[in-house]
Amino acid sequence: MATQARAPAHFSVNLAQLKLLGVDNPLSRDAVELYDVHGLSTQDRLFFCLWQNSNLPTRVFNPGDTIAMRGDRVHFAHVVLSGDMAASDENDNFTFGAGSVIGLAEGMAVLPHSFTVTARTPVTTRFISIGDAQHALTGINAGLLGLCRTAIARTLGLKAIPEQRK
Amino acid sequence: MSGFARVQFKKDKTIFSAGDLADKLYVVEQGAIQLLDPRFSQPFARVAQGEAFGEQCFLSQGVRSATAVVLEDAEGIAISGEGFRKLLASQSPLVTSVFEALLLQLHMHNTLRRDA
Repeated sequence: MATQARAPAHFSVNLAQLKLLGVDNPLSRDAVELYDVHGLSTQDRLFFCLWQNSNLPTRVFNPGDTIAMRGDRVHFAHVVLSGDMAASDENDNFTFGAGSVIGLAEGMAVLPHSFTVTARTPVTTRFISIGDAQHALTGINAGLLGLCRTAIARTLGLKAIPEQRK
Repeated sequence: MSGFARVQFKKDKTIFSAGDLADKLYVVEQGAIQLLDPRFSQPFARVAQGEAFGEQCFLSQGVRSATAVVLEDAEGIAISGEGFRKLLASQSPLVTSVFEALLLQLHMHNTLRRDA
């Protein structure tokens, strides 16, 4: 039986719409009103917070660069600010765009990269050192830690919640 | 601490529904909650001891994307959205960034799972 070609699953925020907003503080009352007027989604708003965060360092990848290799240990997680990427896991191919987060849950759970990700266009990311992130979470409030562990487990489809690395 | 309250829920109670204003985060200490996809009324996550749900309250005026129903009699802590934001603000700025990025990655993986 012939199989029908299917476009790979895709993830990206609506970057063009976000760039039109021009607010300084993504959690301000003005910003919240803009989110409402423009009907931004939760993922748009989370991306907006990270996009505005100049405390996180930036990295640029050229077309053809490998951003992550499935199975490799995660040293840095990337939040993609712009660009298009091809990605794959053991079963499927995907396309990633702005707003994609690569390797964070895996790194925090001390698991290897889930995806191989290759830049198709110039890609700009903000990156997070996994070592720094784990250190920052040491000793935080139990509720916050529980939420982070739940988010990691739900992201990775794990039944057991990963313990923080000491 | 202001913004924190102990809560108890009986089996089958709906704690919140998809589309509700997200005003609280819950940390489960005992029992279990299931999260349902509103489009299919199918469970997609089980939340139990030491886990948390309701993270949309991190964003002012955020709305619930799932329905939470008590699977087994449950106890825990409810944290108001304002209390949660104050709690995050008292931590290292990197904690906030990690938290935002983890939630964004969770949205991304949910989207990919739906569409793959």
